[in-house]
Formats: sequence, C-alpha cells, structure tokens
Amino acid sequence: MKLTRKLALVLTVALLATMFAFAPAMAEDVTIRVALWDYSNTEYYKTMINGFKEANPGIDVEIIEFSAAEYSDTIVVKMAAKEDYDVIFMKGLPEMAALINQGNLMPLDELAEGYDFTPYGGTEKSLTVDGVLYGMPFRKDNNLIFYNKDLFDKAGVDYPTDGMTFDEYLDLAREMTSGEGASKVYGTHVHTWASNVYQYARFSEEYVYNDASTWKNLIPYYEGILALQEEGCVQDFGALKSGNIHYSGVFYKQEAAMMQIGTWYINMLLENVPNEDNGIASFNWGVCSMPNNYGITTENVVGGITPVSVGAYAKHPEEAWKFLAYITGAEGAQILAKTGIVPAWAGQEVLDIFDHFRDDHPNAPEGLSKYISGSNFIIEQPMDANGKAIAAVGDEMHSAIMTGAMGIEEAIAEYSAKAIAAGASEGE
Amino acid sequence: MTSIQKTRRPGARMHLKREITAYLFIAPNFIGYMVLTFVPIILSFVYSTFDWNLGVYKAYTGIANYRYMFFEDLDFWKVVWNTFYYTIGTVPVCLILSLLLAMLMNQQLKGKTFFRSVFFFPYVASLVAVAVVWMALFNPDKGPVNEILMSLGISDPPRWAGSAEWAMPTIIGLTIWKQAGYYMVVYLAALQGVPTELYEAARMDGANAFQRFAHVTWPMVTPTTFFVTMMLIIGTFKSYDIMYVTTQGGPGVATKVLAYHIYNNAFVYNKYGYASALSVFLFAVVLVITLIQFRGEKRFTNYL
Amino acid sequence: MTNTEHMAPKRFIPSKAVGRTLLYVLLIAGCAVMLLPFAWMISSSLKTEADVFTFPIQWIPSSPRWKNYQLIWEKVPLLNGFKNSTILTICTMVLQITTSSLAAYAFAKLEFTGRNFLFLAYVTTIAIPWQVYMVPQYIMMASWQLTDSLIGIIIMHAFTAFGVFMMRQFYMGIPNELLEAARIDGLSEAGIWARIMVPLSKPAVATLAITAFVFEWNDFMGPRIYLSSTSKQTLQLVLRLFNTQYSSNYAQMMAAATVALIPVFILFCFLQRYFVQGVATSGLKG
Repeated sequence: MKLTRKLALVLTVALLATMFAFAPAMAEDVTIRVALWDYSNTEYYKTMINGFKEANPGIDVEIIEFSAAEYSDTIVVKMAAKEDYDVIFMKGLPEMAALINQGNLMPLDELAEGYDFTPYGGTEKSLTVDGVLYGMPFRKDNNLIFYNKDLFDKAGVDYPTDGMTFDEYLDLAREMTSGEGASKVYGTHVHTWASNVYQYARFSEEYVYNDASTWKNLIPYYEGILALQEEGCVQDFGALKSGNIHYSGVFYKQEAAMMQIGTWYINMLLENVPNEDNGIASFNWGVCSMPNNYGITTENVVGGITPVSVGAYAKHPEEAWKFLAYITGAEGAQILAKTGIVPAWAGQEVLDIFDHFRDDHPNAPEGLSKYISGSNFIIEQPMDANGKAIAAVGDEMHSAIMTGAMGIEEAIAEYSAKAIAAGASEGE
Repeated sequence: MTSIQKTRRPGARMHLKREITAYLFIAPNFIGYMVLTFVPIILSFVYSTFDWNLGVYKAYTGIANYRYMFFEDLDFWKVVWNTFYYTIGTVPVCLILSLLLAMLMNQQLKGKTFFRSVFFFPYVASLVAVAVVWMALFNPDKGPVNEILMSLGISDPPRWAGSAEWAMPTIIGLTIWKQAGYYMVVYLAALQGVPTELYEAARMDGANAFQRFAHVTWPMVTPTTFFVTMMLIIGTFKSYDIMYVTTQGGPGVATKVLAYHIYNNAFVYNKYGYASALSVFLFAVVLVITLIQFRGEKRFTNYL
Repeated sequence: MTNTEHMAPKRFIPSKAVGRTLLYVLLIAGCAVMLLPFAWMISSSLKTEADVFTFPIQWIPSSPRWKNYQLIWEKVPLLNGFKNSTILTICTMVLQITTSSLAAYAFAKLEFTGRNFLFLAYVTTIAIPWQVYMVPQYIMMASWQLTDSLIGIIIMHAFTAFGVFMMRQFYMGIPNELLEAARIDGLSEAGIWARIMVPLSKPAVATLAITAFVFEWNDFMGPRIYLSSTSKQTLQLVLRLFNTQYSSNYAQMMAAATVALIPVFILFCFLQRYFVQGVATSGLKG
C-alpha cells in the first residue's frame, strides 16, 4: 500500500518534471544539423548563422564540420548510414549528382513553391535533375585572368584585355617573362589542376568533361601551355606538384605577372595584399576575362557552383529550407559579397559591393561586377551521375600530359576511351 | 615442440580443459575482433557480388564485378603491376636495412640511444612533413639531389616524381625512409630474445661474424622476419595515403596502386560493390603469400 | 647483455678503427637525413605561410615567427583535441596490449582445434584495407549508437589482429622448455602468462605500445568518419582544420604538429630502456 503510494508520487513528480523540462522544446525549439567544411576558419559562415538565428528565433543550428580536402568522401560514408543532416553543403555539381543518385538529397520543389528565383540568374536550373530541384546555389565562382598591374607597368607592357585570343595571351606571357634565379618573374602561372587548362576550352564551350568527343578540342590549349612550360615562361608542372606550391603564394610574392584562377581569389587578394605580417608587399592587381578565339568577352563566365541542399533523412526539412533561403538569399549574399566571395544571388546590392572594393582596398580594381555577372554562366562540370569518375580520368590525363609522360594526342585518345568507360558520352 | 605436448596428454578430459583454457585466452580479443572486424569484412565480401552506389540503389549482380575487374577495367592490370612493383621495390630493401640497423644498434656503440631515437623519428613524424621534405629533396628542377647529380656530370638527371618512370622509385624511397626505423625497433626487440650463450658457443666453435649471423641471429629472429615481411607486404598492399599526399596516383596512372584504386572506386566513383571485389582480390593475393610464408616459417622454426 | 663485441679481448686493430670511424660518419649522415622532416616541421612552424614553400628550402627562417605557437591555441580547439586524443590513445593502447598478449600466448604456445586456421584468418584479414569494410562497420556501429563517441572508436581499435600477430611472433621465440618446467612446478596457464611470458616480453610489449600509440595518435581516417561533434574532435582532425578549400596554412599546421609530437617523444624516451632490455634466459633455462 505504502509502496504503491510512494511509487505514484515519484511517478507524478517525474512526469511533471519531464513536462516542465521539455515544454519549451516541444513548443518551438528546433535544432537543425548543418554539415559543411571550413567553418572554423571562415568568418562569413559565423556571421551568416548568427544572422539566421536572430531572424529565426526558435531555430538553433548545430554545426558538423569536416576538413575541406576529405569533405565529399566523408559525406558519402555518413549518408550511407542515413545520417539525419538537415542541411548539406557540397563542393560542386559532380558531388551533388552522386548524392542525388544515392537518394541522399530531398527534392525541394514543394518547399520552394512560390520562391522568387529571379536574382539567381538561372543558376538554380543547373541544380535540377529531370526538372526536379535538389539544391540552392550558394556561391558561384567563375574563372578570370588575374594580373599584377605593377609588373606590367614596370615592363611597359599593356595590360591584358577582355576578349584577347589565346595566342595573344601566350605571347603576352612570353613578353612578361623576365629575370633569372630568385628574381625571375614568370609571364603567367598555370596551377596544377586540370581545370587550369581545360577552362579555356570550356569558356568557349568547345569542351565539356562528360562528352568524350570534345576532348580533342583541348589539343591546342595543351600545346600552348606546354610550349610556355618548355620556354620557361611558366613554372614547371612537376616542380609545382612535388613542391606542393600553392598558387596564391606565387601571385602574392609577385613571381608571376598573370594567373588564371577562380573569383574566390578576389577574397584572398582583398584580405592578403598587402600584409606585412605575412611578408606580402603592396601591389595593384586587375582582372580580365578568359582569352578565347571567338571574340567572347564578359558575356560568358565559366566556373562552378557551390550548392547547398536538404538531406533526405532530415528531421526538420522546413526549418532547413528557411536556412537555405536565408543564406542563399539577399541577406546571406551580401554577407558573402562583402568578403569578396561571389554569391549565386546576384541582385544589384551584390554588384554594387563588387564595384566598390577599391574604396577600402586601394590595391583592388574598380568595376569588378561586370566580371561576375556574365549572362551566360557556363557550368565547368555540369551534373552527371558519373561525374566524379569522369573528372578523375581527366585529372589523370592532365598529369600524364603536363609531365610529358605521354604525347598530347596519344593521351587524349587513351584517356577519352577511359572516360567513356567511366560513363562519359561518346558524342554524336 | 608439438611432439612433447602430444605425448603429455593424459586423457580426453585433460584435453578438453586445455582447449577451454586456450579459448579463454583468445576470447577477449577474438570476440571483439569477430564482431567488429570479421563481420564487416564478410559483409563487404558479400557486397562484392552487388552493384551498390552506397545509396538507395543496390542490386545483386553475381560475378559481374569480378568479370569487370579482370576483363573490362582499363586500369586494373596496370594497377596490379604498380602494386607489385611498389611491394617488390620496398619490402626487401626495407627488411634488410632495418635488420642491419637493429644489429648495429645492438652493438656497443657510443650514442646508440640517440641514433635509435633519430632513426625512429620519420615513423612518428607527420606524413605530410615527411612527404614534403622528400619531394623537395627530389624536386626535378631545383632539388638538392638533382643539383648533386648535375655537379657530378649527369646533365639530364631523372625528373623523379615528375616523370612516369621515376615516380614509383621516388615513392618507394619515401616509404623505406619512413618505415625502416620502425622495423628496426621491432627487430631490436627480437634480438633481445637471442640468448647470449648461443653467441658464446658459436664463438668457441670458431665461427666468424658472418657465420654467427647465419647460424645464430638469423634463425633466432625468423619469427620476427616472418612478421616484418608480412607486415611490410600487407602495408605496401594497403598503402594509399603516401600516394595521396604526393602524386595522387600520377603522372597519369604511374603510381596508382590497388588500395588507391579501391578507395577511388568506393568513395569517388561510388562503386562500392566493385571496390569490395577489388579488396577480395587483394585478400586472395595476401592469403597465397601468407600460406607460402607459413610453410617457410614452420621449416625455420623447427630448428629452434 | 646480448652484446657480442665486449666479449672480444680489447686489442687495437687499425683497420677496425678506420671501420669504426667510417661507421660513425655513415651513422651521423644517416641521422641528418632522418632528421630532415623534423627540421622542416620546426622551420616551417616559424615562418609565415607565404614562406613555407619557397625554394630552395630556407632551413633557418630569417625572422622566426614564434607567434604561430600562440595562434594555434586560439584558432582551433587544439587543447580539446589533445584531451580527446589522449583518452582514445591510452584506452586503445591498454586494451590492445592486454587482449593481444593473451590471445598471442594461446596462438604461440597452446594447442587447440582450429588454431592454424584462426591464425591464418587473423593475419590475412589485416590485409583488407579498412576503407572497404569501414562502410558496413560504420552502418553497424551507427545502429548501435556508437558513432560520434570516443567509445565507438576505442572498441573498434582495441581488438586488433596486428597486435596478436606481433606478440605471437615474439612468444614463438621463448623456449618451450621454460614453460614445461613451469607446468611441472604446478603453474597454471594464466600463471605462466602473467609470471613468465609478460615479463619476458617487455621489449615486445614496449614495441606494441609505441605502435599502438603512434597509430592511434596519428589516426585520421577513423576519427574523421566516426566523430562529427566539435567537442569530440581529435588532434589529427583539428590539425586538418588549418588547411581550407582554397588556402593552406602549413605554418600553423606544422606548429601544431610539432606540439603534437611531444607526447610521442616522451613515450618513446620512456620506453627506450625496454627496447634494449635483454631477456635473462640463462638463469631460467634448465
């Protein structure tokens, strides 16, 4: 009798306690789990997430951070065990295509109903499969030629211009090569990625990685770059690779007059030039569009998109969508843009920010907005379920050609066959 | 040794008790290993007969993965060749070097504690640091190795990791550099177990240094040699991180080894079933080598 | 102890002296080569990022940047990484040594049905790359709620075939007569293991200890798949945070890596004497 009463009392107290403890949680508090990379070292993520939490009281954000280099592989394993990530950032479209193929991303059409996509300039369309939207474009990075104005002034050579031909670009690199030993300045810098060569062909849409029949159009570009390498106008691929040389340092230290790289480098230049503490002197820099033989200038831009999606096993898809809309929308975009990173959301506010970097950063050029707002955004590696495998074949071919292990034509014949085996189309 | 135990078996009950004792000894490790390692391995073997993209799509395909491996995968045989090249280049040199170092460190030598620590160092140092330094030493354009070669009159020194022919030897050198000190320590521990009397006896019989090595040291460290050989072979077969931080399998596919191919297939191409099939192949190769080694070990240990 | 040289009568032989000198020259040259990665780590850790990969390598930075060693504690959760790595490493090391040495004794010195088969299974499964069975293993552990917990990694790494293999090979070298004598004296198998095998295998235990320690301390793959909360990140995970998608920070990464090496060094120095401790078999040998 006594025991039952005691038990009843204990139970009542426990029940009441639980109710009190969980009452507010049940009412509204929701924590969304966000998987991303580089959170620790990236200020804008923190700014954005704080902004989101302020705008959405009751939604908390749990960060799950993986190191940048291994991020994509880690997500694949995590999702194989059906992790309940609400928001998943991805490195690019091949990675996204794989996750969609695995059924790991949630279709967004219902959640996004009525959402205004105009400011994204159509980039969101590249994130659809069979017309179903699987993600939101967060960043977009297109490729440009960066150049060191001071070095050009010193040599008395005209700056590179939008729409120059590929041969003009090569000749400019030859002209700008000077000096010997430690004081040598290379005409341009070709980093070790395959994209540092194929991007030229992709810019004029002569080449796309998942159509093997277009690979032969890379020949003139490889010939041109290899010629520069032989003449000593660019640093040697093998030496760069075995020396682990990061492109950013080459340009910071003014060892190259030009460099082809993505727009994220605007952010790096704004933050690091000049930086006495890191031994980086002050110099003026500028950008121009990719050289090509078709007279294309800033109307084309070629690059990648950083998509962000809702996980298929998300517990709070609606809150996740709110998060996506916030970070890829006007608020998030301006936070990104202020750091010199190009957001996919390209409203006038963003363009204004890019046009006025010079106000606070005297080394930067004016009028950057026209280089990031071309009407034809060419996705460097469009969505393809076999994209990661095909891209890997392209990387192997690149190192074979650049080290001279194989002749250009021979390598393209052999590796485009491998690309077809990996799932690339054979063309018409 | 087995004959002694066999004759000492007094009966079935005693025999059962011995068996149980033995199982009790292995139980803690065995149960853990069984559940956490054996079972997943068996599962991955099962997956080798599936086409699985690590997501929702999973289909039984029988031996299709194996057929693809032997007949269709354009990289497979090249990758197998690279793996053997890497193993054969690494194992004997590393084995001999580590045994020599261990014997040296077992001598009366001033500062051997210091030498021992230093030789062990590359094993504990961060792989990134070890790789960066090695690649810098062998930088094709400005590396000190090539500068020395050029000053010796070799006008066209190898381009090391920057060339398809020399990339693998460069990585083999890096592997030996990183591992030799570790196996030196393993051998050193084994050498402690060699009873001094055996050397004294050999000396009294007038054996010279080489004979002492051949008749005392070498037979006495055979179990360790078996261990070191196996671990080196398995280690080189499983190696993927060294290529990952240096050449990423390049130039072309010159340094792409089996483990690298497995990793790529699983997590880059998301062909998990095929990656499992590749690892079954790897397992089969190691099984054959182990069986051969086992025989060798039995023959040698009988001398004990 | 096992040293063979000091048994020989001391005589001065010129060729021997030349040989010795040559040996030392070689050893010192070897040391220099072996120390290069360490030198690079320290020198890079005292540079600005822009100077880390300049060529030829500048071994002594012109103006050492000690600030890096201060910044690393502020930029990433390094202390937390130390804490987690220490817990992981000590737990797995102790468990590995105990369970491996018990099993190794049975494999080396006891007879039981299926011994050779089991041992073969142990050795050959070492060859399966973890990346392959990591997927089913991870799914299994996830279903037991053991992911994102240090315990999950500890139990995953505590029972290794490697440790069993290594200890067995050392135990093989211990003479059977010794055990027979002990059995006749009435010692149980557990007693033999505790009183004879373990004390005799100190060099092996020390070797396994350093192996387990270095593996766990430097392991990156396990933690990166299993641990996702920031509070549970290990040292190696924290070290990776210095390099971001588009920029690297090897200077600070190497500063942190150098600090991370200190515990390994302390352990190695502590274990030094066991590596060379001779086994006093002479007295025990009947």
